[in-house]
Order: sequence, then structure tokens, then C-alpha cells
Amino acid sequence: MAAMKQIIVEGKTYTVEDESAALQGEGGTMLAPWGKNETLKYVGKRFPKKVAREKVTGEAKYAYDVQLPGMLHARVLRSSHANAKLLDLETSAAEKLPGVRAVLSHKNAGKQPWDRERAVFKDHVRLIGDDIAAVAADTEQIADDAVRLIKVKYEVLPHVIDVREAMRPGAPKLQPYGNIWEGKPKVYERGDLAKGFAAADVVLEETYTTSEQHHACLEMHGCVAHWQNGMLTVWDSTQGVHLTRDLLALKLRLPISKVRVLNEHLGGGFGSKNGVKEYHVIAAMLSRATGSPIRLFLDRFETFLLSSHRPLTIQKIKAGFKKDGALTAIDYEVIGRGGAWNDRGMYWAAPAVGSPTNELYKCPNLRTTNIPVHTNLSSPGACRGPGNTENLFALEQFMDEAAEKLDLDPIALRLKNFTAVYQPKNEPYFSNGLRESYEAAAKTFGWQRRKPKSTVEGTKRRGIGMSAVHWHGFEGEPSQALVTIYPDGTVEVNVGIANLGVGAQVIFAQIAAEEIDVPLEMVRVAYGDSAGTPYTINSSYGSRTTFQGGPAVRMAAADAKQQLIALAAETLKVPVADVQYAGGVFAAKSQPEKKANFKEVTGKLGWMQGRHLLIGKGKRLPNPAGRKVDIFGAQMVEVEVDTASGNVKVLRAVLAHDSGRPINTLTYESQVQGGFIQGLGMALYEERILDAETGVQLNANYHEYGCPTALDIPDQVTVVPIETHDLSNNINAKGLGEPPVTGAGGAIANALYNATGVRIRDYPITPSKVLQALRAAV
Amino acid sequence: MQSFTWINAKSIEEVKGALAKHGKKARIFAGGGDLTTLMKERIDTPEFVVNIGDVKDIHYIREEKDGLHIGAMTILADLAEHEAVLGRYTALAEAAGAVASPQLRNMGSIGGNLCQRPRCWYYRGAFHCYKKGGDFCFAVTGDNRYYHSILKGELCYMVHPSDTAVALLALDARITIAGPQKEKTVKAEDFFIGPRQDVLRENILQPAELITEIVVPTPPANTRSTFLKTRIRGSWDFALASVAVRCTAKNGVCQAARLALGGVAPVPLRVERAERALAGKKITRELSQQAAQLATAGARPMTMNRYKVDLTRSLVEKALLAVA
Ligand SMILES: Cc1cc2nc3c(=O)[nH]c(=O)nc-3n(C[C@H](O)[C@H](O)[C@H](O)COP(=O)(O)OP(=O)(O)OC[C@H]3O[C@@H](n4cnc5c(N)ncnc54)[C@H](O)[C@@H]3O)c2cc1C
Ligand code: SF4
Repeated sequence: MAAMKQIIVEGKTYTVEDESAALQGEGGTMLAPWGKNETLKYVGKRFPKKVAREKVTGEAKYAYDVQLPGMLHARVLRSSHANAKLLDLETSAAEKLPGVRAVLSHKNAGKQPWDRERAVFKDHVRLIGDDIAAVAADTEQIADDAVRLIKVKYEVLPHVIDVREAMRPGAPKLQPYGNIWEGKPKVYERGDLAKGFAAADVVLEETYTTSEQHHACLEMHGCVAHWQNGMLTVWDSTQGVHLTRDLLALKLRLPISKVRVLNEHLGGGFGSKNGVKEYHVIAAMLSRATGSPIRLFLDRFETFLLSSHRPLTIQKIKAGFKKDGALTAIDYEVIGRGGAWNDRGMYWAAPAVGSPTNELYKCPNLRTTNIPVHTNLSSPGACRGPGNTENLFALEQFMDEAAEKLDLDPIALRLKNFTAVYQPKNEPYFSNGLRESYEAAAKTFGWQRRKPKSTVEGTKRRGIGMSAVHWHGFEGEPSQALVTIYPDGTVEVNVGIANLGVGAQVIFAQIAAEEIDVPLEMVRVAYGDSAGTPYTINSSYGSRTTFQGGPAVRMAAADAKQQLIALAAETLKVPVADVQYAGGVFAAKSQPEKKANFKEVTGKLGWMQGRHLLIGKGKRLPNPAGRKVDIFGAQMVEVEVDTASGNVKVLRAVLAHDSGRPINTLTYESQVQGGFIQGLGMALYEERILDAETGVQLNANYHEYGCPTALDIPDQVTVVPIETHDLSNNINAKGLGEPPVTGAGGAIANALYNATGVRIRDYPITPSKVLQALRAAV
Repeated sequence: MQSFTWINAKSIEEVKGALAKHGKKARIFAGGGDLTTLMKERIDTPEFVVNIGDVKDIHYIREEKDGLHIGAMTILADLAEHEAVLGRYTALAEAAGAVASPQLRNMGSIGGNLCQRPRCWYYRGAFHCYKKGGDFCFAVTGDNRYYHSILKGELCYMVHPSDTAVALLALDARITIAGPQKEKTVKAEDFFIGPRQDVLRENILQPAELITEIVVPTPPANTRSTFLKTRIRGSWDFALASVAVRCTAKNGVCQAARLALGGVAPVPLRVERAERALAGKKITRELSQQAAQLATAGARPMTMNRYKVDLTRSLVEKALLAVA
């Protein structure tokens, strides 16, 4: 049992686990977090990603590029109706097409389940895109032609696409419990709402909607699967090799040891490539049926249709404030559009939305009502900063509206409601750099020059706005890493991760180089293969890769170093306690002339010396109990609105982020910039557009979907790292990949208001909405 | 994509021969910027694809006495950067430069740009509408926020997607057509046809015909032209609305003007009423506003595109003030 201690936060005493004791690693190694002012050699510096060159030159090979001898190509026949029963399915013409090697459907593969309510191949389809049959053929062209030869007779059933319509009585009922997930809204409450509103001087209520943003990964979703001699090997476009492996083993009832998943490079994930989808199982089944490797990639249209998306949300916020800005009550409701099936997508549809409302501002009386609604569509999923992004796009506009009504500066209102305590569990945060983020962003941006109205030049109006940033940290799941030291002195960090593209490889190398004290070039990171790597992370989601894996890597490196010192002691013929290591040299403290350099010591390793390799093992334990990890920040933007065209251009942005210790300041910057740009896309351009009648997606291609181009992003995106000294783990990291998306919408919408005096509460803020709002305001 | 036979023509004669032989089953392939997508999505399934990329004599920009001669296979990037085009046929250079993205301008030809098919997303999707021989326009009751008309729509409410077409109308260009019959030349505005005339096509070309050349007459002295376009993003996107204007003016007084609109009607639309209102008058803010009103007079927006009226007016006003 670790030691407990008492700390005082905002005048109250909390009993928490002592961090130094809690951070004890495997085998008794004590590894306290790096000190606040500790001088570090590699950590906190700029290093390019290890794979940057390969990617830019095109040498990088993605799962999409994998070509195996004898490989066949697969295509899937998908439902063209949003709700229908299959009356008849005729595959013989497809089977007869020369070059076709296998055709699977519910007729011959009906027993393969997908989840508790459906099979992989459906005989009752509930959305456009549901899998009906699959073909493996010599070429993709033949497979595609064959799929079109399959005849389906449907009994078309009523469907529902609109989320409000789905909530009405009499709407087609999609699940036995109705269209609201599991029968009723999920409610979280604290305090006394009525009392809170009664105490308010000002009450404000507004409704906001956010659109369905796609992940829009450059590399499409798919895999190459080879089932050979009872062993399934999958080259997967995935964020996590271990999660894909475990789920495939489960779905196909294979021993985990008989499934191997590989991923060296990934062309985008953003939350859409966690775990397995039907196509993984279909590729495996076709490989089993044909004995050949199967390549099954979705095309661009299917990727939009089926790879999941951020949910559409309708959020109603009602809040009471004292004259000085103090919140007295919040009543929040979110309706989220879910899919037809009862799967994890329903959680992302609404229950995941709302944590900033619950947590970011001190408010004793609060109710959050989450209403996930089934419709005849594909399921939403986690999309970079899921939930918090949708919520902050609404909440941060709301706070701006409240500040105006209360005649307060937007930052002053936010500071008035600052809290250092995680309210749902009444636990203090390990660290909270929100205050510092506001201050630093304001200073860098020049916030004090904000005018209540815009500057005007012809049809151009300029304005500025800001938003808070918030993301939830994790409790620290088990994570393992290995560090091997070879006889030539090179170091290999062995981690079980895929390559999401966040730069984890260079970050893990920096951590190992730091701990062992070897040059960074000596360290290589082995990853991307579920066989032969430890369980570092199941999949890279939640901004956890560094936060989870980093401490384990540091622990493994420390373990390796301990062993090296023992080896040095043997080499120098002195007791272990007498050995010190610095600058590549081991020396005896008692007899400084007794020394050996790094390679002399590692040279004692290996079979030629009759010795094992040196393998350091590291484990990450949970965060010390009693405190919460959350991630904060503040974003400020200046926009220019053309009142003639309705175009909104973000001219500059300042992004201050508290993510604990920045491990690599270069990848830190690019993560924050990239995340913000993705948020900008959601704020101004991106949305899944459906035909209201049929549910067919009308803009399921890159061109029409409309991610921001190089011309649409500001020339100046300044990143200001706020370095809080977080003690939740031994590398002081909190997580960074997702939070930068969350602030973009609020900041841009507020700047638009500052520029034009019109509020657009319905994202994305397109020229047509701006023009309509301006016309209405005249 | 459905399988097809690739015919790599080396001369206009070969193109004409192949087209005459295969008729409706053949398509011309210029840059492929549009045709490839149509074929990949199986919206168009030709059996023969006639590549004109290697045909000599249709890649050129020449300024001659009577004006600018442009071979049909000339790529948009060249038009956008050509000195004479920039100088005297500004609207065309600007329109070519406003098309799509640098990659598409490097591949796309002027002929192909004029003959590209509608971007209406029902046409591009699995909807059997009028344009595909069906008996319904899905855009009327469906989603018409971007790619649909506010003027001149009937049966089909598409908007013509070509940016260069709008400039060519304002510049009074002629289009040369070759085919089984004798070569002919038509005015740009007579080249494009609306759905009432034939809902299955957007121009007068018969299956065995092709564009070989575009001629833009030398503008009179004291003439300036410009093309303005509003799109959602800074690159890639088609026009929400566009305008091209050519104006001959002396001491700020307009002697003659030609005005055309894009992104608002099934054809690139010349608005003569607005042109007449300008002739003989000094171009002021008030006059351009009046002309803008006239240009959009009779607009019948659909359920989701009312904003295009305001947008078009702003563009007309801005364009007129720019060339005055
Ligand atoms: C993402 C995207 C964005 C775009 N944005 C714009 C835009 O903003 N503005 C714009 O104007 N265009 C835009 N386009 C269209 C683009 O300009 C295309 O390059 C152009 O339309 C086609 O030119 P091409 O030479 O590639 O023609 P192709 O694709 O080869 O041919 C297009 C059509 O024209 C026919 N054709 C080609 N040449 C001739 C000829 N000489 N005679 C008769 N018929 C012929 C073909 O048979 C085919 O039907 C966009 C296209 C894409 C894919
Ligand atoms: S606008 Fe034209 S192309 Fe579009 S659905 Fe209607 S008929 Fe078809």
C-alpha cells in the first residue's frame, strides 16, 4: 500500500496517494517524475520524426502498398437501402465470371457473427453500406465487376434519417427498446438545479449544432490478410496492432498467439482505425476460403460511408450567472445522431459529449442530459477529441455570449469560474495550466487590444475571439516496454504500438536516450508488429501513446541501465554501488582511474562472450490515486470576414497548450498546429451532407467533402507550450494529440461575432450561412 | 470502372474517324480531369475512349490579327499564365487560373473544361434523374445548397460548372467545331444549351463532333475585362457564383459592356439587360448596383440557395467597379 498524504487545494484538504511511492516500477526500481527544473539532454528538444524522410520521399510503405505473391483482391457488395430485408440473393453470375475465386454471403457464411445482434453478412440491412456479400478475384477490376453481377431482391422497409424525426412517436422503431439508446437519456446531476437558477441574476439559453466531421484519412481503410497453416497474418491500416489482434482472435475464435498484426506506417487514423471492422473479418474469411492472401481496401466512397464520423449534435445550454459572472446552475442537453445498430457508436453519439460542461467551470448545480438516437445510418465513432470538441464548440460560444450579456471580458468570465478540482469526483487535478494558458495566449496574441466591435475595410471585417481547450487524461492503464542493449552499444526500444503518425518513435527514443544517457542516434525503436512486442498500448487513441508508453519506456531504460552498471562493476572489478556513469564513461567512485567507456562495457554482452543480451523491462503503473489528469489550453484567433462573399478567413492563431512536459518541442508544435487545423476544418467547411429523403451521402468524396486546403489556413499559427509540472507519471506528460481540435470552433465563431455582430450557432460556418445571417441582421 | 477500348488518336482526322465509327459509344479524353471520375463512378460507361492528348495542332495559344486563337487541348495553366492573355483577355486568364487546383489546371484542357458534365451531386450519385434519362429532378426537393440554379432552371436545375465558359461569353468568343460535316464556328453563348432544349446535354455538340479551337476577338481599345468567383475554399472548389465582365470605357463612361454569370444557371448566362443599362453611362457604385439588380432580376432561388442572389449581386458590383 502506497503512502498517502494530504494536500490543500482551493482551501480544502484532500487525501491523495504520494507520487514518489506510487511510481515504483517493476522489480523495485524507483523512478520519480523528472524534477521541475531538472536539466535534460534530449527531452524537451526539437527532433524530427524518425520516419519523416521516408514519408516525404515516398519510400514509406503503408498497408495499402502491401503486395504479396498470389494475392487476390476483394470487393464487397453493400446495401443500397437504408432499411430492407433480403428476399433473394443470386450470386451464380458472379461466381461464373472468369477470375473470381470466392463469393461469400449469408448463404454460405451466415454463421460468422459480427457482434451480439448481427452477422458479418446481413440478410436484413439497416443502413446504406451494410455488408451483403464479398468477392475475391484475381484483380480488383474483376472483383468489382463480379460484385455488380450479384442480384439482390429487397423488401424495402421504412427508415428514418433525421434525428428529431427518429425521436417522434410513430417513427420506424430501430431497436426493441426504441430509438433512444437503451430506452432512456443518460443523466448526470449534482447539486440542486432549481436552487441554482433561483440564485442567478442572469439566465441565458441557447442551442448549437455541430456537424458530422469525417476523419478523411488519406490512406483508406483496409488490410491485407493471409490465413496460412492456421495462422492469420494481417497487414493493417490501424492505430493499434494489439487491439486488432485481440479482437480478430475473439471474432474468429482463434488463439491470440495465432494472430499477428503489422503496421509500419499509417496514412491517417484520427480515431477511425481502432479495433476491427467487418472488412477485417471478411478479408480473413476470404483468405481462409481461397488459401491466398486477400487485399481488401474500401474505396473513397465506402471510406466516407463506413469508417465512422463525428456525430451530429444538437446542444441546448441553459445557465445561470451571478452579476459578477459566477455560475450558479447549468442545465445541458445534447441530442446526438447515432447509427442503426446497437454498438459503441451510440456512446460516441451523445454520452461522450458533455464532459467540458461538467468539468471545466466551477458550478455546484448542474444537470447533463445525453440523448443518443438511433437512425438508419452508419455509426459515428471517436474522431480526434471526440465529445469534448463537439461540446466546446457549443460551450465556448455560449460563454462568449454570456460574457457579453454580463458585460465582462470573455477571459475574466472564464477565470471567475476557474476550478482546480475535478468536480464529478471531487478530486484535485495533478496540474491545471488553464490560467497560465489564458495569460500566455493573451500576451502573445495581444488580446488586450480586442475591441468590442470590428475594424472595417470595404466589405472586409476583422475580429478576434478565443476559446478554452479541454481534454480528459487517463488513469494510466498497464503498459509495458523493453529496452535491449546490444554488444555494439546500440539500443533498441521495443514497444507494442502502431504508427499513428504522432512521432511516438522519436519520443520513445528520446526518453530512452535520456534515461540511459546515450546519443539519440544509438537508439532505434522497434514497433508495429503484434508478435514480439510487449503490450505498450492496445491502440493509439485518447492522446495516450506518450502518456501511457513513455513512462514504461523510461522504466525499461532505467532497468537496462541498472544492469549495465552491474556489468560495468564486473568489468571494473568493483562493487556495483561504487560505479558511476556520466558522459559515456563508467568509473569507480573510489578509484577514478578505473574506468571503461560505454562500448567496452556493452562489448561484454552477446553469445561470443557467452552472455545474454541485456534486456531492460519496464512497466507503467496506474497514476497515483486521488487526483485527476486533465489537459487544458487556450486558443485565440483573428478572422477576416468578407461580407460580400460570406467567406471567413482565419488570419492568425495563438494556441497555448498545457499538456504537461513537452517531450519533443517540434512534434509538439506540429501536433498542436495540425489539430487546430482539423478543428478549423470542422468550424468552417467539413460536414457529411446526406440526402434527407434516402440517407445517401451526397459529398462522399475528397473534393466535395472539403477539408481545408493550404490556402485556407492562417500563415501564422503560433504555439505556446505551457509547461505544468505534472506528477501523475514519471515523464510528466499528459497528452497532446486531441486537445488542439477542441478550441477552434468557439474561437472562430466568437471572432466572427466580434467582426460582424452576427452569431452562427450551426457549424460549419459556411458562406451561405454567413450571408443569410448578415441579411437577417440588416 | 467498366472496361473500354483506348484509342490513341494522332490527328484530328483520326479523332473524327473514331468518333464517326463508334458514335454514342465513344468519348473524347482530353486531360481526363472529369471523364475519369465519371467512368470510375460508372456514371458514364463508354466502350471507346479516344485520347486527343497526342493530337498535334490543338495545343497552342496564338495572338493573331483577329484575336486570340486557342487550340482545344491547351491546358488551363498555360492560359492562366500567358502574357497576352493576362494583358488583353484578362477575364479568361483569371477564369482559367480560378479553376480547381494547380494539378487539375496542369492536366485540364480548355476544350474539356467547356464540355465537362454537371457537378449536381444527384447526377454524380446513384440517382436516375432527368439528366440520366429518368423522369425526376432530385435537387428540387433535395439538397440544392451549392450546385443548383437560381435562374433559368427548368426540368434540370444544375448550374454549368465551367469557369472559362463564363469568361468566354463576356469576351464574345467563337468556338470551332469539327465533325462529319463541314467545320463550323458558333458564338460561345450559342454553344451552350439549357435543359429545355435537351436535358441530356449541356451543349450543341453531336456525338461525332469535337471542339478544335476557340477564338477570342481582339478587344476594342480602352477595354478591360475581369472574372470574379466566390468559392468556399481557396482552392479546388467550383463557383458558388461567378461573374465575367468586359467593358469598353472612356473617361469612366461605359461605351459597351458584356456581362456573364456562372454558378447560377444551367448555362453560363449572358445578362444583356444589365449590359444595356450600362451603355453610355458613367460607372458609379449606384449604377453597378442597378446593373447587379438587373442581372439577377427574375431569380427564383431554390429551397437552400437564396444566398446566391446576394452573392451574385455583390460580385457584379465589384467586377464593374474593377473594370470601370
Ligand atoms: C476536384 C475538381 C475540381 C474542379 N474545379 C473546377 C472549377 O472550379 N472550375 C472549372 O471550370 N472546372 C473545374 N473542374 C473541372 C476541371 O477543369 C477539368 O479539368 C475539366 O473540366 C476537364 O478538362 P479535361 O481536359 O481534363 O477534360 P476531360 O475530363 O478529358 O473531358 C471532359 C469532357 O469533355 C469532353 N471533351 C474534352 N475535350 C473535348 C473537345 N475538344 N471537344 C469535345 N469534347 C471534349 C470529354 O469527352 C468529356 O466528356 C474541376 C474538376 C475537379 C476534378
Ligand atoms: S439538377 Fe439536373 S442533374 Fe441534378 S438531379 Fe436535377 S435533373 Fe439531375
